[in-house]
This record gives sequence, C-alpha cells and structure tokens, in this order.
Amino acid sequence: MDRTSPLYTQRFYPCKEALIAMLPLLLMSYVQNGLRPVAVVLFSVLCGYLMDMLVHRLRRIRFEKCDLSAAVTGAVFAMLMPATVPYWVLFVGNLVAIVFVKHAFGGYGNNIFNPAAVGAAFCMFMWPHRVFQYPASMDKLPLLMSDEYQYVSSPLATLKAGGVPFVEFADLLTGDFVGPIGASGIIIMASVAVYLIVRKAVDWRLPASFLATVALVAFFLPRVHTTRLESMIYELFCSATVFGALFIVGEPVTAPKRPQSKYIYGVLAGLATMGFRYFGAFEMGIVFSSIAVSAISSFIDRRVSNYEGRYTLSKQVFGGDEQ
Amino acid sequence: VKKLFSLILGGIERVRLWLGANRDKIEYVDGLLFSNPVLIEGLALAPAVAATQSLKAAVILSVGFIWLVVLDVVIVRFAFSKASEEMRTIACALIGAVLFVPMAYTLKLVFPFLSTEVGLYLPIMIVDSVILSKSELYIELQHSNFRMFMELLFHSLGFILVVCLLGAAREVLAYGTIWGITVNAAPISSTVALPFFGFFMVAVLAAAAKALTNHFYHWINKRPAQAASRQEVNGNE
Repeated sequence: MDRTSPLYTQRFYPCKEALIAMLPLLLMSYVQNGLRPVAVVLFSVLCGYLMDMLVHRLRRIRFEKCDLSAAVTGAVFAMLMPATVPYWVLFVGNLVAIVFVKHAFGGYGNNIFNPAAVGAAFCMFMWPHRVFQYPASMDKLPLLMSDEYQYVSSPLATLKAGGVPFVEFADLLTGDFVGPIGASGIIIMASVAVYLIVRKAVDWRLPASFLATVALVAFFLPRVHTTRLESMIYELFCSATVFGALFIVGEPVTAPKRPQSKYIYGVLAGLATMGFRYFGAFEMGIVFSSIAVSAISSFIDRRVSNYEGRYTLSKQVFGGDEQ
Repeated sequence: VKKLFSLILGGIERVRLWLGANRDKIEYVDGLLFSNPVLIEGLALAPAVAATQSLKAAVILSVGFIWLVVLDVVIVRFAFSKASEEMRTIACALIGAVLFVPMAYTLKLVFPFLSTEVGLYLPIMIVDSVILSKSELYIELQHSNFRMFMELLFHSLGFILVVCLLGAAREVLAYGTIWGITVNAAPISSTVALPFFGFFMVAVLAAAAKALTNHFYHWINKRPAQAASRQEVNGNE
C-alpha cells in the first residue's frame, strides 16, 4: 500500500482498539495482584515495540510511529502469561514473536501465524514451570519476584488432572480466580467483547463460532465427573478462553477473509483447542490450536471461494432456465 | 601503521578480485557454507534436526554420513553410471544397506548406547535424499573425479560442521554438558533437546548462512572502487 495514502495509517486501526480493549483487563489484574501484572504487560509492550522498531531499521524499512501492531503482540503475549512470569521470559517471547514470526514472513499483514501465540507457545515449551504456575488471587505481588514464593495451579490444570475446580459462579463473574493475566471475569470479558465488536476491530463470527464450539464440546463430552452445564462453564470461563477467542482467534491478519470461512475457522479452532486440552501435554490449548488452524486459513478461504463460485454459477444457469 | 593498513586493504582487495574472476574454479568449496547440504540445500534435514541433541550423537551422524553417503555416491558413480535411473535408485539403497552393517557393528563398539543416541536416524541415512541427488548430479554433469571427490569432501565437512555445531550447542543449552562433561551448571531448558528446537536452530542457522552467502556474492562481484569512480567521471563527461 502507498505509504503517503491517508488509508495507510488506517491499517493499524484494530491495533489501537485492541490496546484500548485490554485496559479494563489490566485494571482488573491490578486489583487482583497489584502493580506486578501491570509492570509485566508494560514491559512486554515496550519490548515488542522497540524490537519491531529495531527490526524495521535492520530491514531498512521506514518505521511508522503509529504502527502499534508489535505493541499489541507484546500485550497479548503478556496477557497469556501469569503475573509472576520473569521479565527475561517476556523478552525471549517477544523476540521470537517479532523476529521469527512477524518479520520472517514480511511484517505486519503478511504473517501466517499469530506472533503472540507462537511466542507464548515457545515459552510454554521451553519453560513450562515458569508459565503454568500462577499467583494466588488477591495476593499482592512485588515487582521483583523471589524464589520462595508459593505458587498455585489454575482451575484448568485441575481439570487437566481430572479434578473439578473449586470456583464459585460469583467468582467467575467477577474474575476472582487463578489464571493468566488476561483471564478475567465474565462481566469484564463481555464488555471487552462488545467494545471490540461494536468498534469493528473483531468480526463477531470468529469468537462466536469458536466459543460455541468449545461450549458444545464441553457440554456433550465433559472430561470430568460433573454436570454438563458446569463442565461447559469451567471450560469457557476458567481460563483465558474468551480472551483468546477475541485477541488470538479474532485477529484479522491470520483469520480468513470471507464471512463463511470465518465460521469454519472458528469451529476448527474450537475443536482443536478442546483436542489440545483433552489430549495435549499442556493445560492451555488455544495458542497451539490457533497456530495449527491459522496454517490452513487461506486454504479455507480458497475452498469457500471455489464453492461459492460454483454455487453462484449453477444458480445463474438453473435460474436462467427456469425464467 | 598507515602503510601497513593500506597494504592489508590492498591484499583484501586483490583476494576479492581473484575470487570474483576465479569463482567457478573453486566452486567445489561451496559445500562448506554457500551450498551447505543442510542449511542451503535442505538435504539430510531429518537427522540434523531430530538426532543432534548431543555432541556424541552429532559425531555418530557425521561418521555415518561420511561412510554411508560418500562411499555410496562414489560406488554408484563408478559402477552404475550406465544403468537406468530406476536401477540406480535401487542400487543406492542396496549399497547403503550393505555398507550400514559393518558401520553399525564398529560404531557399537565405540558407542555402546548407539540406538539411544541417534535412534532411527542413522539407518534412515541409507535412503537419504542426499545420496540420490548427489549421485544423479555427478553422473549427469560428468564432473571430473577430482572435482567429485573435492565436492564430496567439502559437502561432508559442511554437514559435519552443522551437525556438530547443533549437537554441541543443544547439549550445552539442554543439559549443561559437552560430551558428557559439565560446563554449565544452569542449563536453559531440557526442551532444547526436542526436535522442535532443532527445527528452530536449523532455521536460524539457515537464515544466517543465506545472508552470509548473499553478502559474499555481492562483495566479490562489486566493481573496484577506483574503476567505478572513473566510469562515473567518464559518464558525466
């Protein structure tokens, strides 16, 4: 696209909206764990932005100050991490996301995979003991963590181990449960979803089809001995599932472009997420499922386009005959 | 100091000009980096990615490469150059299988835990694409024997360099040891030994090798500074 065009800066419109939408989540995490989660997210955002600037310079491409895509990558990546995550893990995750996922494929708008998801998956593989240990809810954390800190496991880890998590419905509403920084209460997540959809930063088809699939799988195939409804609620709201649906599955660059393809993409991402949760090694499935499904995103678009073309042609032919 | 500095610069310039003029004469050295079998040609990727979790495994793979690949290619080149392409493919696999047996016995004497170190990736070299591609290339292009030997030598060295580098780096990062001896008390993560990280490291090394190759070709094909400025002056006149 022509850089002098006024439309050029509009490419970064969803990034700005995504950053604004993450503010209530950050505020909630501040209420829960103090300044530490805020510092974690800000550090990650700064890392992503500066790294992007540096790589632009190394690639001899002009860097637009309004390009906030790397800041969003940093923020989403940090939101998938616990508030106790070491700062160097954030640095490495951002390095992988920006250098190896975003710029290796040509920069913003050309990446096949979600950079934040790949960065998070990399850190989950490399240091699972740092990434899947969470602070207790309402425990105020210092800015620099000590090794003696007592970590707790998340409700999703309890589900993975075959147990039923002890989280009350009221806590799910307010977000008073253990999880990554981005895992907040139903009320906050619903308001974030409404904001993003109304501001057209996220197409509703993607998170809706994704969440519906997760809910249906959890309802019909519960993995723990509890009621179907409870299983559905735990799978949907006990972790960063809704956050992932909005900021990873709903990301416009890696998602397909056609409306029908978006439904298929969301359903496949939902099925893959539940597959990774049920049979995978880690409790969090959404980052791995988004990587797997975004690899076939353009293929889905092509198949749907072919099908639509054939359908329109047959309609024209048979419609003409009838007339 | 100024004189010495200009002398060194002049020497580098002469080497550069000589390389630019005689590039095709020393093309067989390219296997070391500029057409490295793993990093540039993408051959023998599976063992290089999955089986280089330690330096010991890398050395076993290197011995396997020299014995299986080099010998197989040479035998096929001399004994089956007149045979059809299909027959050559079958011959490659059969010769590789025959060569593998004495090598496996010998290696087992030196490395008792051979199968634990490299698993399936040593026997799988019998049917590696590098054998077929190289043997077909040498038969088709009718290179001289000297050139073929030199190319095979530098390609083998290129493979050894990459797998040993990967093996050593991954062993240090994963277990904090090198050849079983502790060098780093705090390894990064044992995940480094998994194939996923092998892919990652090969990708990074391949990108670096490609960048270096591009820079090198650009450098040797650059016009001399004086000639370029003279041409510009003439053009302006």
